[in-house]
Amino acid sequence: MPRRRFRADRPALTAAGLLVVLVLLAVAAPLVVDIAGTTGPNVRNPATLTAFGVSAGPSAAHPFGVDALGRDVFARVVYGARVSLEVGLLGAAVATALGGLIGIAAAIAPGWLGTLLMGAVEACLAVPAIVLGLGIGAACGADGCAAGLIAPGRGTVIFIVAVAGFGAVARIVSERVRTLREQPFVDATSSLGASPSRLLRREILPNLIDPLLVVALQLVPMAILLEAALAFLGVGVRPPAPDWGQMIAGAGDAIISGNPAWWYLVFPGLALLSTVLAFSLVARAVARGRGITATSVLPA
Amino acid sequence: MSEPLLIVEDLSVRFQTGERAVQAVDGVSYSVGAGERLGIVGVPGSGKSVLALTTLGLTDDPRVEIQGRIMFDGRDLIQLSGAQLRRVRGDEIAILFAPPRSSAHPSYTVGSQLIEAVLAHRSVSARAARDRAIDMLELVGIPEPHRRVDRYPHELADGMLQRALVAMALINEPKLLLADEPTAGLDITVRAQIIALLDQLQGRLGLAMIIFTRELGTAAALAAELALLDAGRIVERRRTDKLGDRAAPRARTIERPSPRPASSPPLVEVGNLVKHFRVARATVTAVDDVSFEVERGETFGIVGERGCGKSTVARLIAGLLNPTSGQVLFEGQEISAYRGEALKAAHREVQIVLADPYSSLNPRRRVGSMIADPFAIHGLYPDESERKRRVEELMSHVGVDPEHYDRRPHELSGGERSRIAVARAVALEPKLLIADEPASTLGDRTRLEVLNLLGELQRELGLTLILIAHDLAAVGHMCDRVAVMYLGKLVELGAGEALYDFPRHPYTGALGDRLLLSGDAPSPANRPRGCVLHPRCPKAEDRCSEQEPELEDKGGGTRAACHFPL
Amino acid sequence: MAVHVIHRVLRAVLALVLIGVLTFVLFTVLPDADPARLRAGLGASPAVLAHISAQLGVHHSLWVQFTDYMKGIFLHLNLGYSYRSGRSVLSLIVARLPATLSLAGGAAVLWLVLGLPLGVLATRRRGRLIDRAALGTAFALGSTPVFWLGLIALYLFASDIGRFPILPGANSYVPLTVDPGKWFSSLILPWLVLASCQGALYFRLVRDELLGVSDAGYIRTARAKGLTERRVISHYLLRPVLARVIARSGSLLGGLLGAVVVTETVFKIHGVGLLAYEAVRQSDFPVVQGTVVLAAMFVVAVNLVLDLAHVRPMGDPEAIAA
Repeated sequence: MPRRRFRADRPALTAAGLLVVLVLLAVAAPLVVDIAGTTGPNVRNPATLTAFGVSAGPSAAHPFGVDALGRDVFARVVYGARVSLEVGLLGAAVATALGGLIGIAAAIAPGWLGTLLMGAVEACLAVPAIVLGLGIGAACGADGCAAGLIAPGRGTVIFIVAVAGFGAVARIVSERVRTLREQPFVDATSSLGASPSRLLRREILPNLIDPLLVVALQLVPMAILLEAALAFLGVGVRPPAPDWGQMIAGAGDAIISGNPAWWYLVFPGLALLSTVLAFSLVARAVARGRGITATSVLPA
Repeated sequence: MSEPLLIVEDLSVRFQTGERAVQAVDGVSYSVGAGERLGIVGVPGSGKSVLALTTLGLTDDPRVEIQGRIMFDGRDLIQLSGAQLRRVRGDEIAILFAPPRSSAHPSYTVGSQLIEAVLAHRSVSARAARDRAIDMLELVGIPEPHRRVDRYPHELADGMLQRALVAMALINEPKLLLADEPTAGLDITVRAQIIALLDQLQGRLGLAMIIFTRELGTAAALAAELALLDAGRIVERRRTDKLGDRAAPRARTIERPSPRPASSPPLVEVGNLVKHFRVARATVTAVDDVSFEVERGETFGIVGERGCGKSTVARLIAGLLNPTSGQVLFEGQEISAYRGEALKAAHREVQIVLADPYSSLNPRRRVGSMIADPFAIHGLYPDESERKRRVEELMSHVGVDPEHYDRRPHELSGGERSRIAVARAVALEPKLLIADEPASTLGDRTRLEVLNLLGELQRELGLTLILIAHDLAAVGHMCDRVAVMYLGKLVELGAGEALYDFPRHPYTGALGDRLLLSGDAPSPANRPRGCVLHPRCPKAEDRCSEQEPELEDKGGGTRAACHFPL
Repeated sequence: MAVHVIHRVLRAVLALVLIGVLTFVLFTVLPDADPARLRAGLGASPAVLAHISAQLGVHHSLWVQFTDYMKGIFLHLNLGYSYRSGRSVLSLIVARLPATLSLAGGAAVLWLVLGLPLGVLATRRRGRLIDRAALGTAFALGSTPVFWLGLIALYLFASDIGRFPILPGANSYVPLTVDPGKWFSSLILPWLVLASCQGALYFRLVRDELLGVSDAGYIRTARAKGLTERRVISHYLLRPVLARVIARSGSLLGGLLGAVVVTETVFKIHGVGLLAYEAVRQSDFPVVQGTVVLAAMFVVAVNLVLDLAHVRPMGDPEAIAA
């Protein structure tokens, strides 16, 4: 039944198709760039800059133009997909796993411990994600955190996404488990002589799959936007690695100083916008298919 | 005979939902005269609500097609404009809906919602409207109306709220009242009160009344003229000459189990059982000093309305809860003393089937796997294919196609789900089976089938059956003995049929519709002193509020706890 | 009801305490870098480092550091000192508040005035063109990064660099007290940008809430009483929905603050957001830490106020369900 509804949702189908293409592009980035015939993402080509440092616009050699350092924008956009997808998917996964564990723990723990855990979750939720990102970025950006477990750059960003996202998951999971525990079917199996661990495994967990899936899917677009915003603000993967947020930041600097380089503002932005939109539509379609209304997880 | 007040002529209503068209009403005609009553009876989906809503143009769907005429007082309601129709609503024709909780807005006081109804149709001062509201609340029998008028809906019990909604419907003295399932969702004893209220008010105010309901009994109690609706058409019209005589209860097709064997020690002994719950910093007494015994092979019923404690007693006997004090003995052993392996072994002997077949089966699991649970938990039939075969046997035994082994609950009907729950419970052939309101949310016929199934299984497996229900009529015939509970106390205990036909305790009488109680049942957190029923009991005297009656033999094998038994 | 209020306040206090713990772990325990070097900023001399180390009390046990930290925040409202500027973090933040409030406040007015009626309109014409178009736009805007939208806006309309120079560009903000006209005009673009992205969320929120209650039984009863459609909508739909939207705004606050930070950065508006950004750039760690702590506490406080202002009669099923 859910699958049929998904197929009927045409925007979601297009979005899903787009995502498949995107993942392929990201994975096969070197190949794609090769086929397109542009220079690599980190190759600087001073010849494309004018005497005043104004970069060249879209042309046959560079379909998306070049940036302020003469690097091909098309290649950088394709490679940039890697960071966004990796951080988005991995970050959402970590946040979901972490939030799920804490949510379950908070729900089955004895009174005071449960309250304390949820209190900690609420505290984490209170910090705005971007502000939190700035903070963690400053703290871990220098030499890393947690004895090297969280490396500066990509590792830090994934950590930020996890901290920003797990709270919402924990809240939903904890509430769900609490409700489930009171369902008659749990009592029924208990009266058959089932142990608490069996009840958890076979009665409660299967009912968590749907909500967790939906939440995880809703976290991905948020994670991607968060990563881009942090990269824009200077907290993110280290240059010169290509990253959409950083590219937009660079473009912003160029534009403000009078360099009319719209191409390297627009293309990364469109890539970012369409990726986030695609994930959002897919998430919404899956949620509706499972009978869960969207807007239950709000953006960071 | 004067011209009828409302004439519905050849009415047809068609909804366009997506690609499908649904013919909700198909060529229906009826009429009702001023001051007369009509009952329209039909199962859910037969179109009766659509009839009520269409009369006042309240079908929310803009894509509805209506044909035919609805003549009211000389005008065709279907042809009226929006503004004209609005003037009729709540003034000349009123609708009463149920359940009461969804009809009143939770954020505004009861009084403000009544006043609003007045001011929509009369240009009077707010003060006058408020006085009118208070008068109406008094008319419908709400005590202390000047205080209740400023209360919020959630502060009123269900029955009282429904009375307030009746007041709201009648506040502008309409000529016609359409009551759409006016007793849905209400407790049995409250239902009787609302029916009596509507009966009384109709006579007093002289308005015409149409009752739309699924319960033949309710319709017959209120109207002499009945129309039976099925799939949008009127299939039968009846006329009874006597009012107030409830239609005969459903056919007694429940087979009586064979008489139980000669006396042997009782299987279950409940002694001075007490159970308290802590709910939001208050202590709620769910079970208050209840004692009874269940003999081997017996069918024992526990009957009462919501909040009486019967489900708690069921769970206490099943070992799912531990008593606050008192004892529950199964075969002479205290259940709550069992631990570990002994507890697990005890679970094999005592099984419980829970109400609401949907939430008693895990929606994410497959039906076959759930029936196999008892085997898996107790290590029986370790061979997979053997286990599956045994499950399929069980499934056919209870009347479910074994082909459904891999289905999920939502793919099966309500009756099938009940049977699955029963199969699961009898898989280990327990000595005692407790059925807590099995199939109570399903239709009459399905419920009968499930009860029959339980009776059959009882005979075959020789098990003892404890049946928990809220409807004395349905269960009385099937049980050897029945215990009636109210607010945690055991108020009467006697032979099944006898209790229905010759109740001794007023509450039992109310359950059997022989007596009218007043007001709603208080919350278990606020139990009255003395006899728990006294605030609502028509026979109560001073002694009842001071001294709690004991459960005593009142003759005929019945024990009742009442100072002034029937 | 008083019990409920006390309970809620205690929960807020617990949250504040836990924020203190969380930030302590995040900024003192977790980083691998030398705490003094982290706070001193780039290019600090060994003497300065030693001084800061002593001040931080890094030689004390973790527990002492923690209690000092908590005491500092809760008893003295001391969020630390910026070693760069020598001023207290709190004073720096306070000085920048008016700009942030100007930006956030103006945008809020804009998206409420536009987003809410649009949400109502879309619900009334559910499924038709205007609803689908509005929903589509809301989705697209909600997926658009604020900073990108801001830069596009500047690229198109900024008077100094834009294609169609009609509005002041970045870095043109002046406080209200200095020049009201310039203050206003410099904020138009930022307001529009911020309001678009936030408005998209509010629009969806309002629409979801309205759709949730449109089918409620009490709407039907209200109509059955003969109330005018206008009264039904305003009294039974809009008012309760508005109350719920306000209540749920608390959870949107975090996103709003983030968007404000980013918008200030793009348009160079000297508010708290830009302060934080510059602090990260300049490795002015105490300012970053202080901003995080204050932002979190602000969110807790606002949520508390919203919850309490919204207190309904006890036992109200809607309140319980929320």
